[in-house]
Amino acid sequence: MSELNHPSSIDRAVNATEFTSGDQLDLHAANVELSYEELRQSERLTDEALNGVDTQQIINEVQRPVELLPHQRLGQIGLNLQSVRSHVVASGVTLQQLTSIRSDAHHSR
Amino acid sequence: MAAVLKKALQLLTGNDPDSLSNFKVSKKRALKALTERELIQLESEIGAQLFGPIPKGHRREFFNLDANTWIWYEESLDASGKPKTSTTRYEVQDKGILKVQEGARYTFLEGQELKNLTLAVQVYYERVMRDIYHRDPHTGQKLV
Repeated sequence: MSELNHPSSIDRAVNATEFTSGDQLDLHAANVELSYEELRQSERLTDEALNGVDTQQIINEVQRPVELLPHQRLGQIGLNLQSVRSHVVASGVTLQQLTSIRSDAHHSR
Repeated sequence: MAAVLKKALQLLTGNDPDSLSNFKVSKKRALKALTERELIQLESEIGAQLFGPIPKGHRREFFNLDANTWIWYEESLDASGKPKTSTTRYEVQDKGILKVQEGARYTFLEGQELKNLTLAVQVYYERVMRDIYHRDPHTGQKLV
């Protein structure tokens, strides 16, 4: 009997992971290979489905900001204004300071 | 709801002793820290201009009261010289924008009216952020 006919330690390890029917996982070598084949097939299908589609286009689609509905936009604006007002009040800004900033801004235009 | 109306009324009538009447204020007051109400009054100066020229003898206010409430107020004299006022409150709700008028009239905005209000609010926001708070409306960063 050649060396190859003896179960190697790897084979023994694989055989030891062969679960009996009813277990959720079946890691027998043949089943593992089958799973790999399914994975390769699924990758091929994905590649075919994406054939001709620019990867950057896909990324752009995923990253595209979600359009807000009008009332959601108004709600967001309301929250932003509240936030700025709270900041100004908490900072103790005076009317003189605010108008001088406004005046500077107008002059710089 | 009563609290919201009270707050709105105070803003509109300016019956608070600390109020700024059209911001013709003393130097002493100008050096005091601004309150939220005074900021809203400043914003309303801009808001009032968004809907075209204000007829002589009319007074108009349009402002954001809190995160979910916008107020439109019109004041004028009728043919007999009596003051006539109209207040419309717009509430941002999960389902849409509820328009609330005197006489318990409630309607959700739709169509052109919804577009008009949305546009007005966006312009309000752009101008208030730039002209009053001197910040970029999109990033919130200070403008240089």
